[in-house]
Amino acid sequence: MPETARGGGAAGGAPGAARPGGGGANGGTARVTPKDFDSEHRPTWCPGCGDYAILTAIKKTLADLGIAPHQVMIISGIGCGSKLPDYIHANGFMTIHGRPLAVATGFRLANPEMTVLVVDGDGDAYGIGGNHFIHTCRRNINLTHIVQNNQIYALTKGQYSPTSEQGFVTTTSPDGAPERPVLPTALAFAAGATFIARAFAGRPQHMVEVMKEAVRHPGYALVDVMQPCVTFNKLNTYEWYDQRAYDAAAEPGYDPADPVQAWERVNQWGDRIPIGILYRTVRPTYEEGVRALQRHGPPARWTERDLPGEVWDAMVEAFT
Amino acid sequence: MERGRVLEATEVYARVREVAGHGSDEEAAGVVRRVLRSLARSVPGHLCGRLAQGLPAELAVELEDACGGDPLVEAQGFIGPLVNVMDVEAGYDQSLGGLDLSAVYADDDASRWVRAVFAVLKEAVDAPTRDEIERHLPGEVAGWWREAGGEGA
Ligand SMILES: Cc1ncc(C[n+]2csc(CCOP(=O)(O)OP(=O)(O)O)c2C)c(N)n1
Ligand code: SF4
Ligand SMILES: [Mg+2]
Repeated sequence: MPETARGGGAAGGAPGAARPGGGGANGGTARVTPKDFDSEHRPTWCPGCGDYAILTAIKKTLADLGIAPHQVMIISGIGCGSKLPDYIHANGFMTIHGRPLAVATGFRLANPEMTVLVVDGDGDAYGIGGNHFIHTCRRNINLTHIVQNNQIYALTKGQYSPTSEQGFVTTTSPDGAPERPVLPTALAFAAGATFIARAFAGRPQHMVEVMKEAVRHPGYALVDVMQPCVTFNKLNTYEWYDQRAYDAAAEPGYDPADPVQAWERVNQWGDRIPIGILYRTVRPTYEEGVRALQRHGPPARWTERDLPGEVWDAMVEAFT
Repeated sequence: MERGRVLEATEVYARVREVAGHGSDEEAAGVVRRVLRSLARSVPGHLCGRLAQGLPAELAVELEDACGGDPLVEAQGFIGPLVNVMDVEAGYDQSLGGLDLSAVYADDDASRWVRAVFAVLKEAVDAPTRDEIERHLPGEVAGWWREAGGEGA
């Protein structure tokens, strides 16, 4: 039996409303396995890149939760890591640089039955997409945001990114990055995120456990993954992360629901870096507050009867 | 390939350096350490223990920390720590419309380095342990283990 995923849970009661518990359970049919997500496209990532482990972990997470390929939408931006939807057999949408959260918000409102994952790099999520990041945290849309944080712009061959260490020498910071880096977990907390976690691509089994909790979470869930870019980041290597990463859940008195503890953990970065669930609370989702969804159900469920004739005709014309 | 005396660490480095073509013993030592750590992340604790017995103490210690194995570590995760310290400017990316001019076939180097280390490690354990280790190694890394020590290491 697959474990259960969180519900889509947005638009109960309305005509054509989403089935609460969308995603997961696979309609009680065949068992889902990671192989079901295999794509015919071979990744073009460098040998040893941390993105491979993230891809594997996503497949395993979805399979363990019983979410079939047709029940999930994976939305990415632009970057090495953002090529991921090509390498997984599921619904996918590669958007433009920095915009996957905005597209995912629209997708989620239109089709809250689907499990929605956003997968993008640190430049995409915290740099050019930083504004969307803050507001998605605040809105608490029901989606899982997996950030391949390699602390560099990798696809464009090694410029410093918003999470690069201060002093990091790259082609765009020949004297060392002058700025203090963004600490995404702290920013997410300050912006009101309800689930904040960190994983490490070098510990894939642990990463799967974190991702499963994130997908189950009813609301916006951030999983910031320390992802070694073996080619362009020779500072934050597998070893660098491995020496610093510790499992927050193994600490005495660990309570991810305690905001005071969480504030300390989300701010910790340096010689010791916590991985696992750093903060978790439950608040109403954005979808629950959208009254039009309650009244009319999500657009994915609309039929000819739900719309004025001219609107329906215009839509049919636009999409056929 | 039978088990002999436990080699000195310097002998291990020298043999790996010779087969893998490293420029120095320090470079070979770094590769040996990283391969041992990757191996420890792939194979269960009892196999790490058996392997450790056939290694000099300063190398056996590398097996301790990560020991226990993570079944989800794949071939790419196995070689990642090695590629991370390779002196390359760019990995190959076929999405750029062909191979990058400055590209290095990092996976070829990584595979040659890992095989060179495996050839020495295989001598540190008996045949049943060798087979058991192979069964826990991910994907093509298992093949490198099987072939290591044969022709061309
Ligand atoms: C609007 C826009 N600006 C800039 C770029 C160039 N660009 C493409 S990917 C990228 C950075 C990618 O870094 P990140 O998001 O961290 O992903 P990674 O490649 O590291 O996985 C940039 C600046 C672009 N494609 N579009
Ligand atoms: S450049 Fe870096 S992030 Fe991009 S595929 Fe290579 S190792 Fe991965
Ligand atoms: Mg990046």
